[in-house]
Amino acid sequence: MSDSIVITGAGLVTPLGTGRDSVWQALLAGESGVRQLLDDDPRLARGVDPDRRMRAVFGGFVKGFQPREIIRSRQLRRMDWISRLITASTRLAVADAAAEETIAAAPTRVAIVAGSCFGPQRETQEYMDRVLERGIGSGQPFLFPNLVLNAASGWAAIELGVQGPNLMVSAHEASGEIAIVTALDLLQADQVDLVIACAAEEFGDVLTGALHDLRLLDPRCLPEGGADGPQHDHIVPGEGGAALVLERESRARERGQRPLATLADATSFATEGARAHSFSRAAETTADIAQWLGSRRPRALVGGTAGGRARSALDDALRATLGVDRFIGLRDSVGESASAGVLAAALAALACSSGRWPGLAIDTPTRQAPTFGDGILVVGAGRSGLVAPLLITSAPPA
Amino acid sequence: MSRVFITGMGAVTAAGPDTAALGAALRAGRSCIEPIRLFPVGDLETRIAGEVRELPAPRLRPHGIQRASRSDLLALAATAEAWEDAGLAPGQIVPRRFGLALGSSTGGMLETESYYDARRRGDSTRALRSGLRSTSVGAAADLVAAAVSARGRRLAPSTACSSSAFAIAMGRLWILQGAADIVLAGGTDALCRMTFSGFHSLKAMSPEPCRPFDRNRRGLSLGEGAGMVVLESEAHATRRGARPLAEVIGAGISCDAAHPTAPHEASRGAIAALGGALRDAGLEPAAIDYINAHGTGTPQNDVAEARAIRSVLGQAAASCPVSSTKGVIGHLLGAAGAVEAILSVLAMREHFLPPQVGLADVDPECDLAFVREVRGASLTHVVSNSYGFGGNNVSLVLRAA
Repeated sequence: MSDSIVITGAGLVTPLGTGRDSVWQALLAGESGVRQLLDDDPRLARGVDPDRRMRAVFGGFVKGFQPREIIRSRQLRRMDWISRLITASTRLAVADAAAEETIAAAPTRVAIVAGSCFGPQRETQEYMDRVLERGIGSGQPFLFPNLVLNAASGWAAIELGVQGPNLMVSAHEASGEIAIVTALDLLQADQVDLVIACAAEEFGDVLTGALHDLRLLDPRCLPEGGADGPQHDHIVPGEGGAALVLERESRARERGQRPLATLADATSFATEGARAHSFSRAAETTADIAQWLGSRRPRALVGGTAGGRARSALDDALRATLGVDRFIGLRDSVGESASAGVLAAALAALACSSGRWPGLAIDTPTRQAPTFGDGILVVGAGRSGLVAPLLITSAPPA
Repeated sequence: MSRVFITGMGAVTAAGPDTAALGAALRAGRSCIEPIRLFPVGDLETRIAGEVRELPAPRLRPHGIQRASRSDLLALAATAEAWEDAGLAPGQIVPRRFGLALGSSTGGMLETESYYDARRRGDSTRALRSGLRSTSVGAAADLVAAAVSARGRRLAPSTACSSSAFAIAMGRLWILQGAADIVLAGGTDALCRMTFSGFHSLKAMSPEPCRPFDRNRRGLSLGEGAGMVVLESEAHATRRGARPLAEVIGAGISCDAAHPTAPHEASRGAIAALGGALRDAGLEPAAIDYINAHGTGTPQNDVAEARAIRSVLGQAAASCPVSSTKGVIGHLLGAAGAVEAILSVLAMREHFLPPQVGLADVDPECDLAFVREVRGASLTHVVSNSYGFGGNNVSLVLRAA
């Protein structure tokens, strides 16, 4: 019997809620997490964003997230917002997978692979504004360590005592999916026994400002708003963190943990003629993914989480070409987030685990649960032509 | 199991535009750390860095190069040299079997800073395209992949100052797993205001060229550059008649999980990485002929690293030659691991031990067999250590081809 890689835990901090069950229930109920920023948002508390440097007032802001209720480290006050998203989601995932003892028993055999496109936007801007204003000697020693892209995954390692490989990866809109592919590589090479694959993105004035300058931002997102209403191709940014615990099925069974789903396959490649800064054409990407799938026929797709119109075109092409008849359009629920690929994979795992799918009411015992054919497809696709498809299937029975 | 060879190398550093210039600076024991010109440093006590004085003219010109950051251009230049050094030609590689692992710590931050400044002045639109497109640390990987048609696995890992060593370890892993036949691996980082001011704020910068492991060391010297190696499976290298320069035979990766910037008080992670790399290579400590130390010149790093080397090598530590080469080119942050692996290969191929520039009075807590002056040596197995913020540790073991 092949020893497949399974997903045994999920930790979610999202605009739909915090914790895997509340997120899943909100998604099944058709809720949207895109909303106004609330006055009691924890990020406005002292130490994170007291002066409201993040000007965005409308978007996919995380919901129900109180970092102190999840993160145990006494260093919490030193963590910036993206570090809190990563650290909290990994803590939740480890708890969900009941993996604390496994980590404690062999901490060097556990890895954390995190993904983020833009990393710590808010503190970088705060730091650089001061340096540019007052001179190069005015850097703040308590902020600087958080500006390194991998600071967030480092904080998560400290929180959980994880002593194996620890890294952040950046792959534009495919950052989350690439984190999962890398996790799979480490497991299949027997470098580690367990990997926490996670990803996060935070709001930052630089990104929202840039989207505004490019006339791509939904005008509701900034306080000054705009007389023009939102247009169909306007972007509403979102934020959040998501984490998955991945391990070999045999090890999960050994420790009595029932998998949520199987990560049946995952890879990454670039389409022919891929260019830096550009998305590849939807038709070419779809053909490459169809070739990768071979005879496998997934019936469900969790749609892309970032990429605007280019990504919508890819989702349309994938659905039409692959004959997918179950689809979640995540962007409407959580906003655009370049690293929400891990959230997409988590939702696919929860669908496999529960046999439920948003939009399909399964409220009577006689109704048959939806099947997903050969699995649920999650596709990371970033500008630069990098593609990272994941195929997630139901876990085999014990 | 497949063997993984290095068949090409390229490096752009303060020593010059290629590996030959790097080798010459090492052999001469010449420090290339000089007054910084790239941006004003005001009245800071530290005004020096290992700056690349002149970017090499691009020999690879992928679509989008006109908006490339300094960090991207450094990576493209190192890639061009590695590509030519490996004797690669279009059509020799199956694009989907051609991977790329390119690490960085700050990516195009230098240009992003200009964008921040432009926005602050209310003039963001003009600066937008060039400034923000380079923000992601994956931007250099995208350009390099497009330049050489690498369409297989791609990873832009960020593990701070061990990023490019991690990239080499990951590239080797892909080949061993059968996910790639050939991988370009390395890293790039350009000097920028953020890191210069940041390390200054941590009081970690030396006003004079750094002197790792010296009792009177005063901190690190920043540098910039890029290093790229061509990793190739034995079968692929043999098939195309490639000349192996060295073999990557072991890698150890760990995280201290203790502090965001300081090394673990007992060198836990560094010991795990070095010990793991030796086990992976199947070598006893006595088989190591030289260790290229991370050796930044900060008090904590140097003591922690010396402790790790003594702990893992045991009695062999007393005679194993060790040097940090950061006194020559500075600390290249995300590019340091790859460049230091490259110069370790140069040392094996050209039969010399790189000297520890500026070491006058060894810190008693760092008691190791330091190489004080360049000298000839026959080297079969060398180790290159790389550590970084976030408690990251990577040790690579290389064997002479």
